[in-house]
Amino acid sequence: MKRKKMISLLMAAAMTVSLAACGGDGGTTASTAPSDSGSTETEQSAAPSTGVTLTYWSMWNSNEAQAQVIQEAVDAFTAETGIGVNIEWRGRDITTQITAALESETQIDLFDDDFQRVAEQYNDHLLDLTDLASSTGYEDKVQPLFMQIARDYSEGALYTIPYQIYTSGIVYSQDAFDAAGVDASTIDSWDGLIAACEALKEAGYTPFALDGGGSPRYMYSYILARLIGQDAVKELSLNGGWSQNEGARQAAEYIIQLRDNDYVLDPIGTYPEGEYTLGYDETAMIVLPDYVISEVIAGTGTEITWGFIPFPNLGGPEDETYANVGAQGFGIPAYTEHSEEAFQLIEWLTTGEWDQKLAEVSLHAPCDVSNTATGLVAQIQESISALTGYYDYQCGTNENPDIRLNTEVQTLFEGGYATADEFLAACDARY
Amino acid sequence: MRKSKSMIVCFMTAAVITLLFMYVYPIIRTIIMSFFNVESVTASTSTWSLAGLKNYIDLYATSIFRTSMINILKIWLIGGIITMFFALLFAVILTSGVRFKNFFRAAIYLPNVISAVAMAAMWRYYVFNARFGFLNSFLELFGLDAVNWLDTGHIFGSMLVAYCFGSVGYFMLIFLSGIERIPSDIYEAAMIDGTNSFQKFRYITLPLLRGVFKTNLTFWSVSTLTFFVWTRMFSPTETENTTVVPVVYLYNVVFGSKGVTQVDAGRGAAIGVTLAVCMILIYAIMNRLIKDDDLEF
Repeated sequence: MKRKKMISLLMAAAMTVSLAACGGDGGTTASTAPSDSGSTETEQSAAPSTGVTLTYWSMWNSNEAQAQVIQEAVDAFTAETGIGVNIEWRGRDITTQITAALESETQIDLFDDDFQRVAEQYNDHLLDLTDLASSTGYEDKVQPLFMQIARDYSEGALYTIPYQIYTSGIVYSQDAFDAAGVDASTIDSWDGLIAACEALKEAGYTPFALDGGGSPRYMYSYILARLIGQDAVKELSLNGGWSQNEGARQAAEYIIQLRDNDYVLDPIGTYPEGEYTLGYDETAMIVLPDYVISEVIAGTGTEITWGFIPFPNLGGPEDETYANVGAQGFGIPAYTEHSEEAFQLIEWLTTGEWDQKLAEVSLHAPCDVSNTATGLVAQIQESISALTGYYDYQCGTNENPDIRLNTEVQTLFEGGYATADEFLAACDARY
Repeated sequence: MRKSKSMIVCFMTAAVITLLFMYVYPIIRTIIMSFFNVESVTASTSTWSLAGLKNYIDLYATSIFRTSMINILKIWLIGGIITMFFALLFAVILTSGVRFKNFFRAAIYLPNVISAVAMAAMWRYYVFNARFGFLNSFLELFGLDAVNWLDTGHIFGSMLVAYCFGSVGYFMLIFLSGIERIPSDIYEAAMIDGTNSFQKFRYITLPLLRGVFKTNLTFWSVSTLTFFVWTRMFSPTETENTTVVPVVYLYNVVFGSKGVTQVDAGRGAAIGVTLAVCMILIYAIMNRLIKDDDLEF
């Protein structure tokens, strides 16, 4: 009987342990603690501990290049300020975890995610950072457009600090342009774009890469927004009426022109293989955010020379100084007791030396306007500085989240609709 | 007797508590949530406001949800026919005295021990890829034109074939155990009566597998209604009309998606309840159509 009791106890213990194991919250952690008294050689120059340890939930995975720079930056921050930081590398799953964590007031002092999501989706639980930002003159140091967008998302409040900022337009292979004798500055109108496509085709390149991951709609949406403006695109997205819209018809005809002249990849590659054709030196351009460059380099190991230009003006209300831009963003929970220290860390990461290093590893423009860039990143930085307005992701065609027309636009590129009218009728049929 | 009762209580308590907290509570909460305006899944009930049937009415009026239900119906019906056909065929072949039975059984079951993510990636990159996939290389051998198996016209079919391939082994094993359970003397008697192989299958195997069919259809229904990973792998960045299924739509509605920050846990709960009702309906219809209690062997 004793033996039975022993077995039952062991089994109950095993069950408890296994249930407890199920409750683990995932993610990997890295902790950087300040030195107590500078007792070791490497810690002699470190600041004494303030007794504060921040908990930072990061959207990066610990093996990503950005994570490695952030870890270095955090180590330097701790040495400089004496504030410890416990980083939990949550990866992109942070999107599904952070709301519950904020609602249950889990101990988090700062976190990051897509900056639009931070500002719009989580703002009920976040601290308005306006006072903290103004106390350090933060807004004078960073790209003003992104601070404006962060405020636009939250009706004037500042719930997120953007970093890893990106813009979009035509990302191209300078090698392909050189081989075809194309000067990127001539792509300033539709005719200029078509002339460049013809030269590239004659040089043996397919002018535009495409993939099934949303780049067809991205290209169509860009053309449409350039023709009728983003507000009109949003109106179409919400209420339909595509067949009656001349801009939508013109944009479809532009796509048909690209398709029928073999200026776009055929067949359209899947994601991300379609993008990789740039790295394989088969295609010359793609219309996407600038982060596509990192993806292609990581996926193909290509060493081509890259270039970037804004999407050309097509004569509509918004010219080449409008672009779809985005960023990652930091947020600070309203309930944290260490908001000042958390903001200090955010400022540490998004300005000066560490902002520069993050920009270098990710090929994004730096946030800090005093940081300089060279080569491709300089082109991107210049393009961002010239912006006077911005488009949302997919330039307004995401306004109705239930009708995004990915399939219809991709079918147009694939040749499934012979005429613009057929395409527009298919779009309207979704409403 | 008292001691064994205490042992039963001891073992049952953990299971009952687990069941109540991890299954019954979420189910009840989800059902209630579906009648309220709720922004996030974990929002405090004090923030909920009564919506009545609005979540359901709005949901059923949404074209992408209707598309997702049509897609899942096609997966359930067409995929079900393909999967059950091949699972039964392989089970019958493997019980017919074929050589290397254990090898074939393991080989056919093998896809089930590989993660669905790895399987889907393998199909996308090595079979369906338009540039270097196996299928197009095979077509080229016969001088036929390459096909873009992952374009808007083909992607659903490609995904369905890949999903069925991964599912056949699991259902084959269940059929196999059902066939092996049928007493051999029934087949021997039939053989003495002069039946051929097809007649044995038609008049003995099939009728005696009715209960197994019901089990397999139940498992198939559960697995298809929760279809998620394959869509995410075949349409990894944007939700496509061609591949969207209810659970993917539910995920987008509850957690948001790229460029979309509106979330609606109330509507997500309505999707979950709708799927559960579908499952109960399927089960009830199957119970009515497939009677397996009139045969004893």
